[in-house]
Amino acid sequence: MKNLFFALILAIFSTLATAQNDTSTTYLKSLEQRLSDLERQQRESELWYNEYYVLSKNRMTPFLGEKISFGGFFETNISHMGGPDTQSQTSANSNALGLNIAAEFNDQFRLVTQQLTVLNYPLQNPHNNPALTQPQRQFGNYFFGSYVAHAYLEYQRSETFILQTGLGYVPFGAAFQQREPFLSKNRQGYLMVHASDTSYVRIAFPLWMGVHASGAFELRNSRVGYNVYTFSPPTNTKTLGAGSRIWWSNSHNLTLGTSIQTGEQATNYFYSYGFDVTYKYMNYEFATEYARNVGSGGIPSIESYYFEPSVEFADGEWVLYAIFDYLKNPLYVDGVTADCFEKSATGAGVNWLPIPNVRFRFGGARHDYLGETAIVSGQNRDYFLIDLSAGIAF
Amino acid sequence: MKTVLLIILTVILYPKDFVFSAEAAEDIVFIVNADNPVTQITHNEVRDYYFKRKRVWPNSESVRFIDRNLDNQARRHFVKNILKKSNSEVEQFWIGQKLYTGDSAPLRETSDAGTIKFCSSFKGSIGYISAQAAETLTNTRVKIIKLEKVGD
Repeated sequence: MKNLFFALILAIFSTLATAQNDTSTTYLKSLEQRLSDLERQQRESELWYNEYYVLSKNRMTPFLGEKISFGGFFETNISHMGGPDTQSQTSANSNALGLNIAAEFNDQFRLVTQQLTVLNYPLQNPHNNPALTQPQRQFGNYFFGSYVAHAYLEYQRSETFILQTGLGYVPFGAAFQQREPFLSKNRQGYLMVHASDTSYVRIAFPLWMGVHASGAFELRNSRVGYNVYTFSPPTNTKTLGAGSRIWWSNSHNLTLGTSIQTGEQATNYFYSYGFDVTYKYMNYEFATEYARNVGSGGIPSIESYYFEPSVEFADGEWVLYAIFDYLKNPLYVDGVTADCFEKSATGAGVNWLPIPNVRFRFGGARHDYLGETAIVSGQNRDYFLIDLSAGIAF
Repeated sequence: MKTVLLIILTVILYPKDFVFSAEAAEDIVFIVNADNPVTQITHNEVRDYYFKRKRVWPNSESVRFIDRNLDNQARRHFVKNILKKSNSEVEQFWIGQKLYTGDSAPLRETSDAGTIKFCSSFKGSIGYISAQAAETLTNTRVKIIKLEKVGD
């Protein structure tokens, strides 16, 4: 009886053990299968990560297999203007779309382009000269234009030598370089950039054309850089002008620069020089620049300068700025009418960047014409301009 | 009352310092691929590699900087203490680079593990991870490089 009972117990346990063994084998097989699936998924994921994300393959389908990036900006605004002898007027006068395409062939060669399309109502008679056909300044007729803002092939041999060929914004001071509207705190820009007229280069020609070489290197815990470029002034297209800039920066917060440019015009040649300083301290930034254009033949020179302090709040989400801008242009020609003037613009504004790619601006400036140029034939030239604008980069 | 006004004025004028004061405490370490012969790096060099002013390592390998997502604590530390800029300044810099030169910002990884994985795979890569994650680097193809404060 005792033996029978022992045999029975043994039979029950052996059955249970076999069942357990079967269950374990099945479980192990399912684990192996799962592991194998996970490994396959990881391989596929790595392939996708390396090929498409890291190397950017197949994001677009370029002709030659180069890496292409696409982006740009859109800028729109409403302006209100008025003055003693300027009609009060409000206009949604400007919309601009810039489309950037860059093709990176390898670490040394790339092509950079920007196509700018503008629809606006440009300011007519901007200096309120009663001698012109349109006797008072006003937002004018519809203008549509589409053109290449900059396009160049870049060869980067090293950080000390980068060669570009094509055209781009001229490295003359700071104002002439910082021409992308989205990046500008002050939508109205700087007087020195708008000083030229239809006949002559007044402060500096705004584009380099042909060749532009640049580079930078470390010098005693700071950086020193240079630019050298060529251009052809529209006032004498058969000639080649040249310009250069040297800058120094302590890497963090102080940049000093000096620029020169020279070229031949229809009846004379000119040379321009300028100095610029940008200083950042914590939330504060201070930018100032001076530039002067001197023509041959003893003609009066043109000069301009500005001061622009600004402060950031909430990690750059809000920016407040103020500006004092000055321009003296004794050689200005509007169409065929000579119109010398001396003016200053004093303004302030606020920028709101809810996300880094979007900039809303609200700003205004009072434009005062100075000295003998304040009133022409009894017409006061002063005015104020208020802007509400939005810039979007993508 | 004067003191309260002074404090309010200080917070308004220097908001960054108050926003980040608690978060900037976390330390970070820089890692590169194990095949990279570089063993130390200065603050200036990190900035040059990040802003693409220098694009190659001394051994001619192309630099691939791995950044981190904006909301990451390690990135806040990196931007404030190494780049010495605000998030906004860095973002505006890269938007400007994109528009002027076609250059794009470095790729952004979401995690320490992702950064380690990237640096393991690419010889020219450089990234930063939290000091805590650096303790898990055994059996990986990355190494820590010493950060010198020269150029800070």
